[in-house]
Amino acid sequence: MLCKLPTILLLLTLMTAPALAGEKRVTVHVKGLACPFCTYNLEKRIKTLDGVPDKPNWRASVEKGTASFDWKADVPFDEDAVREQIRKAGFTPGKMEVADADSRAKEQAYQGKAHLIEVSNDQDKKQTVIALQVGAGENRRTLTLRPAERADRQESYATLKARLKDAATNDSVLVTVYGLPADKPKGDIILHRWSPQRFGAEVILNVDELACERCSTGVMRTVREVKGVLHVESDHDEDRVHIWTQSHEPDTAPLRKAIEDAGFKVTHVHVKSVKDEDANKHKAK
Amino acid sequence: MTRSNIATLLMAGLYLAIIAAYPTDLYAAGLNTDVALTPPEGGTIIRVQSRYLELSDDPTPMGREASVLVHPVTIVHGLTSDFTVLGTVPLVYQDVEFASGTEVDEFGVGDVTLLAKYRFYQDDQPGITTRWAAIGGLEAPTYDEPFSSESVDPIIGTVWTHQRRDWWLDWDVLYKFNTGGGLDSDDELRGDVALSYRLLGGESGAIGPWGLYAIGEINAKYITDGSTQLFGSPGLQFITPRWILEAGVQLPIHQHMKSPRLETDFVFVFSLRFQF
Repeated sequence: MLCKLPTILLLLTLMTAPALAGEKRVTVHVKGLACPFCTYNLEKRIKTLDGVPDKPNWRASVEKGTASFDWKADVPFDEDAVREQIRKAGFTPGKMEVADADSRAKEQAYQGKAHLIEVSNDQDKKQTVIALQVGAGENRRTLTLRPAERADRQESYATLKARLKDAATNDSVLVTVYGLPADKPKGDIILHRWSPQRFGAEVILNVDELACERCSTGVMRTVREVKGVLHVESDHDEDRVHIWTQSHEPDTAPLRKAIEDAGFKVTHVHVKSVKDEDANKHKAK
Repeated sequence: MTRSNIATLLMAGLYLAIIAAYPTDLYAAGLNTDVALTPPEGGTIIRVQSRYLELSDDPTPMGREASVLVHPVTIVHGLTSDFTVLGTVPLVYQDVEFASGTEVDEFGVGDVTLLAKYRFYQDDQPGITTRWAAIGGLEAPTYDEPFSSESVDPIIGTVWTHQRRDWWLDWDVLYKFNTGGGLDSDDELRGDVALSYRLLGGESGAIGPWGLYAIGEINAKYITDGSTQLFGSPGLQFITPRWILEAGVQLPIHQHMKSPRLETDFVFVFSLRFQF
């Protein structure tokens, strides 16, 4: 039987930061941030901004190449000013995410079924990437899991990887995920049982500065309207949009146009045949 | 040897051979090698270093052996994110022992180094940065004998850094045009390569990201009178967002010093950097 049901417990813990009601939490990806001493350069410049409170709950991570800090509720967020200060600190600004500062505290765990989308190798980082689809309908989202630096995550990742060793694409797995907003339904999620076999091709578009979840949602909404598109996923961490089409040889021009009309620049388009890839995977099994 | 003999040697500039053996190391932003990283616009770094040297193998009949303790105090200020100025003042204490048994202790202030560093290349990727900077400036005399060359000596150079989360590589090349007389008429070319590797690291709530790094350097020097020096320099660095504590030793691999320069037996380096 192709569909097995490996039971997986996956713990994705989150750091929480106390914040005043209404404050925003800003997370910036900073290119070139590679040593602890450099993080203070950034902190010093960011703290000069009007929107940054006296105690901004500053967190810098060399491992992730990120810095996060609170933003005052009564000051409009100024992304350009943040980028300018990052440059003055001697770094190159990357993606930027702004969320309600207290939203992380509301994030809770849920346990539910997920679908294995793929287990692939990231040649650049020499690590195995596990892509899972959890939730359904509007709650549906793709989790891309990589070995994390933190020991507790590494163990969970290693367990998950071992359990998925014999799993096939589209197998169901049971996961416990920490980090989903509290207003999402708990318990088993009824998944939309999509099957890769019915897709003709997967179009992968690299999109410049697909910086936040809201941006991803906007792009996905636009792309879904394009004729022949069956399914869309976006990964704003990797600046990629994955589109599954009915056709084996899709015309990528309308897809590119849809994304560019949404205000984003497409830097690279790659088309791969889902049918061939899926057939190969099953043949290998 | 009498005091009058020593005075004659002083006049001849032979004492200067003692401090002429190490001046360009003093303003390296790293342990002994410079780095192409610069403070942010408006940022300031203060570094206090202690360098203890022992020198011997005097090729002259004086048979000098010297113990030297130098405290170079360096202030670095970022005018913009890619343009930095720095100044170094070395406080020097030296104890020179002659074959005759005479011992002379001296304390003074060495020449002040004033440099500008301009970063002309920068490539930032997630967790990786590559930077290249040009250095130019001068060594200004304090006229504090015997620690001053009593001349204005221009310095030019370049420094390159490739930094990743787990390791980084720096190299520099510096040339000092010595415009003084005697031993200070010989120019000096210095080249250094440093490799740092993270042994331990983490992200603490109290101090933020931190790391313990092992550092290995090769420090080479050529003086235009034909003197050459090559050092191997292992060390350790503990790095936090606000300060860096580092220590290391320079051990000679090869030395060929022209008379009357002394050879360096070893150098201990201890350094604290603090930024605000």
